Amino acid sequence: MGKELIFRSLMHEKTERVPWVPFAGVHAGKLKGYTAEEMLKDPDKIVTSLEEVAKIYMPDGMPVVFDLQIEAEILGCELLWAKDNPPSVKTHPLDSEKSIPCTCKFPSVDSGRIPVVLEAMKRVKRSVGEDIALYGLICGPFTLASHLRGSSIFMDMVKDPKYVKELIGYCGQVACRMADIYMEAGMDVIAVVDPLISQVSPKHIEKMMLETFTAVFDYIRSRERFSCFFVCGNASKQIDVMCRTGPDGISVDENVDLPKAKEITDRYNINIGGNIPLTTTMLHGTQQDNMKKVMDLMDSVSDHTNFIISPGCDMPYATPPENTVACAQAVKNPESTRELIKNYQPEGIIDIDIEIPDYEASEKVIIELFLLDPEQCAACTYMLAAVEDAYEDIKDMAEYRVYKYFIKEDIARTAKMGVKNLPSICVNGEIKWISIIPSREELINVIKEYADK
Amino acid sequence: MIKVFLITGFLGAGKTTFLKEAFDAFKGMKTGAVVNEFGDINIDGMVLRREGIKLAELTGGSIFCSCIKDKFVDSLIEMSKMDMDIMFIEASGLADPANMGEIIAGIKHKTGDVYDYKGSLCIADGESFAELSDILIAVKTQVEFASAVIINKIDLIDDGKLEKVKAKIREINPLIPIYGAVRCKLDIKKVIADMEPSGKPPEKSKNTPENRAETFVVKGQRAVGMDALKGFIKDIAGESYRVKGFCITEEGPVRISASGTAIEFFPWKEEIGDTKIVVISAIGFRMMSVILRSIEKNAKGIFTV
Repeated sequence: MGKELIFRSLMHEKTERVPWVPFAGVHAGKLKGYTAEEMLKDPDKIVTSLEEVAKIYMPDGMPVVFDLQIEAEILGCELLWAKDNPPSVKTHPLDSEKSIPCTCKFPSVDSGRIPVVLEAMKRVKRSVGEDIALYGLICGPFTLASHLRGSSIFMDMVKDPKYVKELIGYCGQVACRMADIYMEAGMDVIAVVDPLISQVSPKHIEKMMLETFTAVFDYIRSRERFSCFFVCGNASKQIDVMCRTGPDGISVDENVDLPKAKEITDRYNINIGGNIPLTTTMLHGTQQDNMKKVMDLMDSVSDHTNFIISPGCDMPYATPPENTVACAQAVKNPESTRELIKNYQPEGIIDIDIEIPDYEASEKVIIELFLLDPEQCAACTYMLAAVEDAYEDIKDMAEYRVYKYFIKEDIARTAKMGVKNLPSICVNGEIKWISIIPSREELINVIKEYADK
Repeated sequence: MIKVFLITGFLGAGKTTFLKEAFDAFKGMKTGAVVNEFGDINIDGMVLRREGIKLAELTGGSIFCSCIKDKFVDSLIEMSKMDMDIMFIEASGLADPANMGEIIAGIKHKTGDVYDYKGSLCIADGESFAELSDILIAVKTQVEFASAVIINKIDLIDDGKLEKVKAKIREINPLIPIYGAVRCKLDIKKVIADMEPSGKPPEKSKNTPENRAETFVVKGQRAVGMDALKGFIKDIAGESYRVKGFCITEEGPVRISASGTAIEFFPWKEEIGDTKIVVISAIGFRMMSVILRSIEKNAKGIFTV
């Protein structure tokens, strides 16, 4: 039984095959023809969508709702809804007021959209929860703190670490409340999803976040449930400190070299999940690309204990279902899949002619942002916000361009520019920031340097 | 008219002990109290409940903080209709009482002229006041706006330290009458007889939600061994400002009161229901891990957070 497989994998036992957890968030709604907004606001639609996921993707485990904005909305952030993405945070209640919100705002079963989620959780639990491990996803304390405070939090981390630590502590308490609510609704695994963790140096994580994350995972364990720590972006350097927060499992995206990361997680006896590339493979690839990718992934790891196959993060809304089916096929029947792709040669989608700007000739400094999806990936949102915030001061000497990794031309450009990790910022064709969000001052100084040249 | 006294003091200084003493001192008079606790569970209310005393209990924040100020005002209006001679308001340990007088004045149109606010009495913990007043704004403001201060637990400090505490108090509020006490035993009638509200103009209370400390509630339904309970409290007390509550033990119900490393256990005669221990953290949210580890070590399967 799939659920059993997930449990044993998270208990670090040997399993007869690698478990499979497709992260079908709003993509689940696409399967039934619902927009993201329609699905996320209606328990009936969540349930029918997830039943479809259970049927066609044959998961061993699956998330019930993949939306990191639920807590932020309850705590006063306004959201921007989209048809093909989870909502994004539009306003930050603490952006002009450096304070800690009142504990009277802690989420409860009646707050915000929680009643919708709870009803869906209870019904999905009844219909497929016997066989499939259900994941309750909560917004990680650092990402939640960023939602509340906005991009100023990156400057606060330098100027007022005590405040950041306190705010993250508050968000950790919110996380425990959310975990409680979801565990009560029957969730087997609580995933603390903190995409932004990859944007912070391990030293800063240790100083401002380690204690809070540890407390959250300790709390989940004390309630006898499993916990996972999800991250997006290039978190290679952060894996070690993430392990030290003590989750049962970690999940990473395509920016992380999974076999290398597994060497670290194995040292801590922590499960690792990942990392089928979301756009190049799942969204734009062929079925064979997907099978090949999964097989390569499984072959790259010699010890299959403590290992789960899943997409790098929340699957793109428009992922062709046949690609996900291909992944499922590969995980569940590796030997027959090996036969299927024996003579396969990848076509490659990056064979598009791309013109690189003539930086020398340009009157202005050209800032290029290579992002995954600025509306969905929190790190990308804040990286873009950092440039937008500073733009007023540099617009006479610079211009900026945004590339999104779900657009084929932009994928090709990313490859041609040699950008290996997303999100990244290039200035006049040189990669300046990889996965790190520059502070306003830092950004302006660099642009001035280039302008002076 | 009802004479109203506000009782302030940091967590564990002895506010509840003072109220118990005051109820004894005013036996025969019509007495009431509003007790306010920071956490979601009111331990002090349970300790103070007794025949003939009118009690209003407020939990989940400081009465001066916007989050429960409305409830505080409601209960003041409610209490104003009761037949009382004297009423004490016990503020939570982190309360900043800068605008108490204003609150009483502000509800006059609802209560009529029944309340006669006599000012606030601050209980200072002899052992920790000098250090805490440097760190915590509320501790300082409590003295600043007080009309009298009782230095409690003077049996636990030497003369030198007592003088240091007095000097610290005078530095904040030069003319304030200062009394010394052990377990709040002193002539309470005399202390409050001369009290008048401090002349200091009211200020906006600094009790924004941000100066709240994290509170945790440890619960349990089964009895725990007395040694296990002692071990549990000992492991967590050093990292907390305050630990208080009731616990079912194999030797019967026990009341727990710890401030810092000073830990006390009292046998408790009345029904307590389940175990409820409130922990107010001095180390932020990391306390969660400290409590969970202590449960793992001392009371696994019996206590939960």
